[in-house]
Amino acid sequence: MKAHPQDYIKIMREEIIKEEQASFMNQVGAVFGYLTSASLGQMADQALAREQSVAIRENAVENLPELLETFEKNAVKNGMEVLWAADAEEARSIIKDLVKKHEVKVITKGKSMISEEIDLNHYLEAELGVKIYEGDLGELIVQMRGTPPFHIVGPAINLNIQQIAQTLVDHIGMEYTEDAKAIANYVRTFMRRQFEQADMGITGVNMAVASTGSIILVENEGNIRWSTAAPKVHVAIMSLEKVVADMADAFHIMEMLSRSCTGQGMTSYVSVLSGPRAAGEYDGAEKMYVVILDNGRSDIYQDPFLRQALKCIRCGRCGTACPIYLTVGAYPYGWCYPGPMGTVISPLLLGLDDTYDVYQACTLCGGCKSVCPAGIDHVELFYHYRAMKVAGDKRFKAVPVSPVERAGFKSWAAAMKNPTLYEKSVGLIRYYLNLGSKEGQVSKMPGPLKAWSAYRDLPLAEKTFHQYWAEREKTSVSEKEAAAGSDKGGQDHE
Amino acid sequence: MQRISLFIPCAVDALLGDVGADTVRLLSSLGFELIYHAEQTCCGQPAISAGHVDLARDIAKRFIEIFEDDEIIVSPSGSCVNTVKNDYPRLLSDEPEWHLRALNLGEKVYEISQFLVDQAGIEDVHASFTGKIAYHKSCHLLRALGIDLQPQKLLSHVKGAEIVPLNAAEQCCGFGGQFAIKYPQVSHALVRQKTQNFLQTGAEVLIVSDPGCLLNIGGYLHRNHPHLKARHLVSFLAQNLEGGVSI
Repeated sequence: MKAHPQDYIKIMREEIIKEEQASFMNQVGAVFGYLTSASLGQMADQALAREQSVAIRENAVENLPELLETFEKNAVKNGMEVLWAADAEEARSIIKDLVKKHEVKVITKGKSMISEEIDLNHYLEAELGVKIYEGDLGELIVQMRGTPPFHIVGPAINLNIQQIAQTLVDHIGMEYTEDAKAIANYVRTFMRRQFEQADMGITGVNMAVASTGSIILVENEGNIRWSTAAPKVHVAIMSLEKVVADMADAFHIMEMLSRSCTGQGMTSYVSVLSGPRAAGEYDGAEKMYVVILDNGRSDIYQDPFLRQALKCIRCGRCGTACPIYLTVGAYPYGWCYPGPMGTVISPLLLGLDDTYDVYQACTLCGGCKSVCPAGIDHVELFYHYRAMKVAGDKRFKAVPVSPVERAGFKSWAAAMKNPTLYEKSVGLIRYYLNLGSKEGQVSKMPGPLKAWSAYRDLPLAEKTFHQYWAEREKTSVSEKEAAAGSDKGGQDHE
Repeated sequence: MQRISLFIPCAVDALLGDVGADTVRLLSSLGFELIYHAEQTCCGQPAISAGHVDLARDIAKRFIEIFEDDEIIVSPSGSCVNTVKNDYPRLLSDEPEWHLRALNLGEKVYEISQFLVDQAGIEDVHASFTGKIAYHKSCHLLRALGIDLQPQKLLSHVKGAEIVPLNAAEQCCGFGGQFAIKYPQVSHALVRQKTQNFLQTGAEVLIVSDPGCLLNIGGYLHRNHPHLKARHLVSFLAQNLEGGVSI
């Protein structure tokens, strides 16, 4: 999909008033939160398991160049062809050439975030007129509707059955029914025909294993198995951080991914692919390509602090712990990565200016960080993005923050360093707040503070703490004096 | 008795002076001697979260200079304690001497429930209250400082108070500092959700431990459900002390 995070506020305003969606999203958060917590809780030592997955991802990201080299060497040895794409455009053109070379008419797909990131479907359809079918039921539905996936494993999770049924009626000739089983069966039969006639399967990659040159794919519907086993050509596209050192690492990440994503110890299908169909084998692609996409990730790798953004395993558990995502939904994020996952990666891939609202519209509550199986420190990252924006970090496409904002913070800081100025400022603020105040609550506020008072009052105590303390000191001094026999009484006691 | 230096956040000073006064009442009633550096202002958190880190650095250094000779520093705000404890060392990581001073200071700074329960070993402050209360788990207390049971222990000893479970107690109330002004619709949706969960408990008081949550939830309740109250933990305890207390 085309990225448009600049429209965050506009889309957020449209989405936030959808009451039905909001109440549903709350259930999604609660259900996924429960399922994933329960599943992780079943592990013999959950804390240790997390420590291990953090270490595995840290090791993978720290040793990225070496691991990628080893992966390439072993994958080639296994008979795969490895192709490197510096950016989305190059990836699209590599795949376009493969489609042309193999005279492909029909493509079936396994759900892939990278495919969304490089907007592959639209490009291939427009350039070559090729037919593309998403194999994952939810992804197929959103493909037909032309909307981005709403959730990383539940792309159509925000749609009700009426909307889903109507989409299938409109696009693939289903007879209208609201019977979920009948709908699934219809799509199953429909997709089987596509899998059987497909010339090429395109999938993502969940883990690439350096030591064996294998790729691993996890799923629950069997469509990825079809796309990798039936068509003559299989193209797997991966972003370069997907590599891990060895099978043991890969399987631990796989387990953490499954438990953190859907609450399963293991998904229904796990495909470990170590090369194209060999002589005597009865299934598998005859030709297998792995496209490794950079698209700005090397720039992230260059920065030792930002590098942690590459640790993400795309489980989406952060989303179920994010009050913002559960409130505004996926669309405001304006790209294929919704929720905190997007807040981590989109600013670095798309630039800090275009994604401004994505990382500013966050209360820094730390829910995401507390559940992340990869050990990403979201809160520190988001602080960092804001600081990079203020400073105008050119590497990640930021111009310095406006002189007006800067001047505002400078005068604020000056007041914070000068107690007299501070007290005067507090007095001034309290004066203006008091104009709209009644019985300790301010209901009307001036200027930008209207954004606050539009929805709620503001408690305003009768005195500042400084005043309270000064009076207390005075009282205790006079009490001491009284106790010492001085006849300087008559002070007001509170 | 131990001498405690009070770290009163700017939001408490400017808007919630009563919470500061209640902090004094509570700690005095427990016999602590209190000092207050009147030259203290703000810990700098607004500048840090807005990304103006250079400005925050100067404020942090000033804060360190004011407080570093104190034995123990206590604040009624987990969020501001987190800034001093966890953000200062990171903020000053390029200046070894200041970094060390920040770390040293950080070890002496406590959120009030953390201080009472973990340091002073006090769980029963001798308060009583008849009625149902619910407890909101403020984000920075819970996730940034790992303070979860301490406030609940203090509440569990309040005679007559029935603590009822709050659904999604650990979910953010939507304050987020400047967030509430920059994204008012989102902030509103979150505080409304928090309030709905609170309404479902049937409790009449929602206890919070951070001034930010109190401004947000308290202001929202006052506008929309004036018969219900949000109270800061220290206010709830200080105002329900048995037998009254001299200030």
